[in-house]
Amino acid sequence: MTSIEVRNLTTSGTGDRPLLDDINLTVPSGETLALTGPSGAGKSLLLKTLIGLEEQTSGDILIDDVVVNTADPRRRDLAMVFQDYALHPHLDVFDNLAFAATLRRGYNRGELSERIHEVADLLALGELLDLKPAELDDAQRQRVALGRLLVRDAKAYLLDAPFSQQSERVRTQVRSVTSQWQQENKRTSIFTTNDVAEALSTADRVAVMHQGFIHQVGTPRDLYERPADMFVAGYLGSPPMNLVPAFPMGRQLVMPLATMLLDDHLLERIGERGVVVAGIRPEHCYDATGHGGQAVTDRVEFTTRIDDVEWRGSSQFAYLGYDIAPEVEELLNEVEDLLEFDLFQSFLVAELAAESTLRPGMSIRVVIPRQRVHVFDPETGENLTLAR
Amino acid sequence: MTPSVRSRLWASGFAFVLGFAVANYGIIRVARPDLWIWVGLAVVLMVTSAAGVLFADTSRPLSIWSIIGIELFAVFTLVPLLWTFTVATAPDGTTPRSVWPQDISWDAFDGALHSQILQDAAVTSVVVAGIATAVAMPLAIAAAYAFVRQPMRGRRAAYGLVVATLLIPLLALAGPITDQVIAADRFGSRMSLVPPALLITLPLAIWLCVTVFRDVPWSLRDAVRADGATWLQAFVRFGLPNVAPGVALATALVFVAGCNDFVLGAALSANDESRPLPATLMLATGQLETSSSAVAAAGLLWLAPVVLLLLVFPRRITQLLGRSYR
Repeated sequence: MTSIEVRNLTTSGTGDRPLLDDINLTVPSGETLALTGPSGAGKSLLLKTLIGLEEQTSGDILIDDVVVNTADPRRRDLAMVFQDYALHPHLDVFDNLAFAATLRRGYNRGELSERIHEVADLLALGELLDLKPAELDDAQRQRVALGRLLVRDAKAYLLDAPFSQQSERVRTQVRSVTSQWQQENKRTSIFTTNDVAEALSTADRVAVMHQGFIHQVGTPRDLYERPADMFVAGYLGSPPMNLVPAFPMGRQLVMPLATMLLDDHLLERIGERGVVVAGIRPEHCYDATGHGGQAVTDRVEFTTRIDDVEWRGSSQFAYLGYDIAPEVEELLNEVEDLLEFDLFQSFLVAELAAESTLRPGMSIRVVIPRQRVHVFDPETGENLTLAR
Repeated sequence: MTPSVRSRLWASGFAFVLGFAVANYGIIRVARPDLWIWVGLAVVLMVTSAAGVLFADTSRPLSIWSIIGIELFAVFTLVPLLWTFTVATAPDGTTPRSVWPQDISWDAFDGALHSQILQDAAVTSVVVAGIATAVAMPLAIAAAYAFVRQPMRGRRAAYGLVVATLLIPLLALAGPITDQVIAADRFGSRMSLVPPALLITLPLAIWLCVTVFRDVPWSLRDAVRADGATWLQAFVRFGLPNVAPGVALATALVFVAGCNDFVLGAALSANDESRPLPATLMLATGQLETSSSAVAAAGLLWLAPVVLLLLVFPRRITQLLGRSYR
């Protein structure tokens, strides 16, 4: 049982912005943490720093409450899956799986072989044990890398995009095999992923990272329902949260398509701000005539024209276009440039029940539960809806 | 990519015309036994032409132009080599009259092997190239590692300088170096050849090592360290299988290049004792009895280790040199 803690970890790069920016993380014993964020966020670097392959500029890394800043990877005793698999080209799959274990003295050959066969069966590598990495496809290589991690008896597991190459069908299976093994062996683990759904579904807690900075850490539910800032809100979810410019006018918040009544708490939080950003998740938009729409009591309503419809079987996406003033658009572009991430669109996506027949050009009445609308500060990104 | 039918037919036509011309010239102007070389070449070209027509409209990845190119390249390298062999095996006192060897005598090889001058020269070449390689390789390995792995300022410029050194005409440097050697009163000694030989070996060694290191799976070394390998284990389990073969081959190629240097050897040595083999073969011909055949024989013997190297590691060598040219 191992805990990992990171305090004020900073790595300065050659550019203006540090590669890792004052990172604080605690992963209690036995927990699985997902690091998610767009590529280039510094996720891989963080893992490499944790394992001791890269050195931080400042800050501390603690494994089991012991500072290991100067310890080499051997002493830290963490196992890692590398994004490019890092398999030995001259060894076959079996020897690759056995590699880490054979580096330590006094391993039991029979036990090791048994363990390797067990892991190979779990990951569907049983038939491939005699092949060299060059003879495998990417998905198989990735499973070998994963298997090498499972075979090794390390204190904790670090996995860098460990399921990225697996096909949609196999991925769930590989994921569950891995997490089951972890739970049985009570291993702490940190994995990175670009796939938001994977992060939310697999991890005990999720950290959203961007530009070397951790925006928020929390349980998947917490992050999804109570995003701390605009980036987290815009990044999590597929399709992502609709972020629209909104103007407070008296007790009302005027959005491009709708107008919402502000309660005392929000009114106070918005204060003097002339413009804010309202966030609405696509699945919180309901067709007013439909089942979900009628049940909403405290509601924001508007009628508009449907620009486009995507029907996906279990639900359908309606694209509702709107116009924004050029000066507001400029402000939004500045925010996007600062974040180096596309947050804003000129349309609102509504995820509606699949039954109703929608066609482009039709007008639709949309209902949104008022409590589901988030309000953000456009400059700091802070979520004003959350109680301080 | 499959070449087009048109390009293949053009190549066939070219091969046919060329083969026809070669056959006619050979039959009309060349006496036996060289006639058979010409006829043989003509037959090969005609067969190529026929193959070009037969495969013109297939999807085989086969380029007739490149086959013709290889054939012509082979002619231009093998015929001189054959001529060298013929000269080397010509019996004492005769001059060969045809490219194809007629009376084969191995005396010249015997003489070359036992000639004191050539032996000395070979020893000089091997010793000088050996020391120059031994000095260059550790430096080159360190430099190449820095070029490939260390994110430092100006490494592109430095590497450019190394490659530029490769292209420097050595003749331009031979004069100044000779002056320095004379000034240091070491002119004529074997060891005085070593520092200038570094001019050849060091840039070449760095260049080849950079090529080798670029292909090394470095993330694997990270993985080996992450797996908890000690320094020694990382060397044995990662370095030996992944880096050492390439470095060993680079060493062999650098050594061969050092051995083959002619310009500096000729410029820097006053007498036969300190002259390396390639220079001796060019300059000292007058001092050898049955000179031309002895020189040819020595040249062929000198070629043997390189041919051996190519036969043992053909794939690795083409990979190393091929990658370098990319």
